[in-house]
Amino acid sequence: MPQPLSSRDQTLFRTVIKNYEDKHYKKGLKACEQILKKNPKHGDTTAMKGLILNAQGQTEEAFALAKEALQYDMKSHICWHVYGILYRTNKNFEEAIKAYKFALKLEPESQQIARDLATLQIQTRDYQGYIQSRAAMLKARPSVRQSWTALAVAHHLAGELQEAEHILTTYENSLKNPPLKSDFENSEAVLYKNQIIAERGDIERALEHLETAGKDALDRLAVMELRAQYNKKLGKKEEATKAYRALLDRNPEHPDYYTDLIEVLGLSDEAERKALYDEYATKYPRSDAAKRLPLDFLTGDAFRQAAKSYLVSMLSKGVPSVFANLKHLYKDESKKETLPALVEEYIQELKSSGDVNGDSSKGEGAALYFLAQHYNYHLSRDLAKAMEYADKAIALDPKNVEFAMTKARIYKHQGDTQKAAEAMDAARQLDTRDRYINTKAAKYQLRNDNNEKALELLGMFTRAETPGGPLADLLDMQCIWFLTEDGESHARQGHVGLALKRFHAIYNIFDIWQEDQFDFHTFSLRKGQIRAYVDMIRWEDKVRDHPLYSRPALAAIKVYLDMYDASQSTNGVNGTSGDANGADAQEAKKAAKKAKKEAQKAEKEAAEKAAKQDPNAAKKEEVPGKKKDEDPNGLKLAATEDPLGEATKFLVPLLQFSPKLIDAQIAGFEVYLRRKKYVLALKCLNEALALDENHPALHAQAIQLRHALNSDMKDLDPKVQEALKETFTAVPASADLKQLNAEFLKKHGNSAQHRIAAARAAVTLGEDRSKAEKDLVDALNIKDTTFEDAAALLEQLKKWKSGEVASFKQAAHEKWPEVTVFA
Amino acid sequence: MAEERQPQNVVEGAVGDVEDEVPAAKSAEDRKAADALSKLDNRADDDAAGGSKDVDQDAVNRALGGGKTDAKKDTKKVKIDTADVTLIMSELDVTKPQATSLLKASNGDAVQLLKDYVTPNAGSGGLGDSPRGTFWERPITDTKLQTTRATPRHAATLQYA
Repeated sequence: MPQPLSSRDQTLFRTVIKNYEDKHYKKGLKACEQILKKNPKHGDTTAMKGLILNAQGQTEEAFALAKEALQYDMKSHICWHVYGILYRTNKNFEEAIKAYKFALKLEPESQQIARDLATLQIQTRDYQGYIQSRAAMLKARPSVRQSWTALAVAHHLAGELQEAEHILTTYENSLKNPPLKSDFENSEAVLYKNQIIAERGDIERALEHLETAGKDALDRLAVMELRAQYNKKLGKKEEATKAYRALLDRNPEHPDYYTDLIEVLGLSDEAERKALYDEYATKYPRSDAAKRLPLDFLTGDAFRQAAKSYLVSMLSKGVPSVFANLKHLYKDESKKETLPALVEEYIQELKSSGDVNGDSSKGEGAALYFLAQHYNYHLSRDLAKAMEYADKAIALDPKNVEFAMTKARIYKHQGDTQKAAEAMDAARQLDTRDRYINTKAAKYQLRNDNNEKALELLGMFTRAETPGGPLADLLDMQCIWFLTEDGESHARQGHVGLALKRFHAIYNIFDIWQEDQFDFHTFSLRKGQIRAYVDMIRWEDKVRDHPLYSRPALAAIKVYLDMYDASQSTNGVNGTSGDANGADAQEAKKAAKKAKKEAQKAEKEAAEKAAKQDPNAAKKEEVPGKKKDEDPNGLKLAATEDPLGEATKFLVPLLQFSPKLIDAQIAGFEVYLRRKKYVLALKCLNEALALDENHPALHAQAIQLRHALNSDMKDLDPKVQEALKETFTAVPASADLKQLNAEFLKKHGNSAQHRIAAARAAVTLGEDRSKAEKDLVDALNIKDTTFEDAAALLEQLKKWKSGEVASFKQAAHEKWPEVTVFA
Repeated sequence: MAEERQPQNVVEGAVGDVEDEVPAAKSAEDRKAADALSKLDNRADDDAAGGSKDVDQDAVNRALGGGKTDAKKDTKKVKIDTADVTLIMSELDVTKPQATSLLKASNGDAVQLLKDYVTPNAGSGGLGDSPRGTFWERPITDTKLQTTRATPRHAATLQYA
């Protein structure tokens, strides 16, 4: 039962709360103990003690205390609120919402609790709950604009646009004095309302609203852009033209303004369009866009002429990014021919006319650099020539970082990661204070699996005082490219634990990004930046569609699949002969042991290093609240019992947010097939086929699925059987799979990738593995096989623990002596 | 357990005379922004242009009164076999509520649901068009992580200080 406190203790209790908010945890705890000494069963104080302990990282004790507190005082909203906060900080949002709701029931007038509840509801995207909470908060505080805007946002996000607009209008009508023009919150709210009107599809009214209420809005650019867009959509040619011209006068570099203006004016003729760009190129001589964009649509001689004048002006200035600006034109065959020819011409002209002005090296260097990049680019690759031009450029200006960097890139494309890393490091030494080249050099080290050196390089730019060294700082700073490259490198080297450690770190960073919204639910409303807030909410909903997620996720799935396959073959489920199994098992065990040993060694070294580097590091790491990493080398991750379950964790967001990524569908199939989730596997296969029905991997997958269904179909639920029968059409049920595969191999035998697919299918069907291996080895002799294909072949052979691995490597090394993986 | 009870409809007695909160004294707060937050709210109170509370109260009633009418409850009743729910949960690897709503959407026909599901771009199961449809048309090598810059994660929170 609740104990009333003496007035002295009440004051003390208030200081506890104050201490907590000011993060004076030790003082707070002391005060708690003081109160509890006299009132050992005081619920609120017990709860506060729990809250403080939680802030210090003692989660378990905190929960125990919070529960105890509730036993003492079931009817205290503070106890319930604390309980909710504990759940929230431990990310159990569902329970937290329940606790908050209960606290609010006990204390309906607490704004604090209402706000916490509402924040959680929007965080979990419980729109209806959020609307309810916001409506209640509005009733409690109708005089604050924020309450109104928040409710409108709630309706807006829930898709109830009409209601959202209604709320905003009602507030505007209730104002007796119009807000000042300089009132930022009002200005944003007006534009927000305008956005809602436009989203409702009523462009006419949106334009009218913009021209009346919105014309003084402080975000001038937004007003101008909206005006142009609305007029364009409504077909008001004259107004739209005027609006877009005004925008171009403001910013003549924005490509969309040009295309939109051209659309409004209805210019379809090449010359007419060029004339428009020329108009702006003359008006704004420094504008790059007006000169460059016409190259996208011009053809023939007109293109040649425009390209020439653009190239000459850029090269003479020595602009290093010319090639990057133009390489998108290479999709067009004739432009791909014209551009390098023009650059050659430029060099010739320089040589014949040069020497007069003296300084032609800038132009020549830029031109040579362009050609080096041209021959290094995947659509126009000729690495020998690329190297020639790069060397010429370097001879001209040996101190140029970009030229040296290109050389490293050429080595990379040759497959010589070793030399590439060395060359990039040489480039780095030309300018050790440049972060960009430092980063590049580190990346090339990672590609060459030299993880330590990479970290050392990056350490030159990370904060020196971070406990745990550069790695900890990179993690802290959420340096995803590094984590991805490092993880992939460890995966290549078979350091499963470390690879998974990095990939999981990235996964968690995306979680953190989702959590980062939390503060903005209140912050953005308070600041009145609602449009940006709504944008952010929508972005957060699809944050994992980014390649920064999909790439490491695919890599992680691959690691887990290999792990699962290895465990299957050691268990003898999937193996061919007993002999091979025994060897496999032994080897796997050996590898695991070795990995463990290495990891332990690395850990020990790291610890020693850390101790040496900074004697205070150990002390610092014990900062309360910051948990120490219990598993720095990912050994626990590598020891997972359920690799397919873990893979699914990475897979689900991938399929949800990047369904158009064929690699995601292919990976999805592999996971679901192994999990015997045939419907899901078929879904992935069908999606992939819709994206690219000629992808070689899909042939093997279709055969694998049919093969699996041939044996497992009868065990499936009749409803599933029915659905599968009708929808799995890629390989008919009656097909002779072996024959089908043989035909496939015959038809596509000239492609290494297809051979891999056929070989995998053959092995699935129980055919002779040695024949499949021979087919793979033989693929080396196909004319079109690249070293990348060969690396894929090698990987497949290694996965099968084939006896051919060594001889294959040897043969490949002879064919491509420069490629590091075959060395 | 008390926490399982459904909370009553929130804030009924609060309408009318509302005393603004004294946050620090009344309840606990976990966020570091607490102080700044309550201060800013107070200022917002002062700022709120004109309009006595009574006028606003009318407005609230008007605004909320209008909203309650178009309740969008989906009252369509579909009979759903629990065996189907279990089947969908296991076959599509989804939670029970998800399985139920998927079945509802296809009128309780599990076979039809499965068929629609495996058809490319059928739209069920949340696999719609990616908003970045054209994004992937670029070769993946072009989207490498070269241009990423590390941003201090505390960039956002610094503003509270």
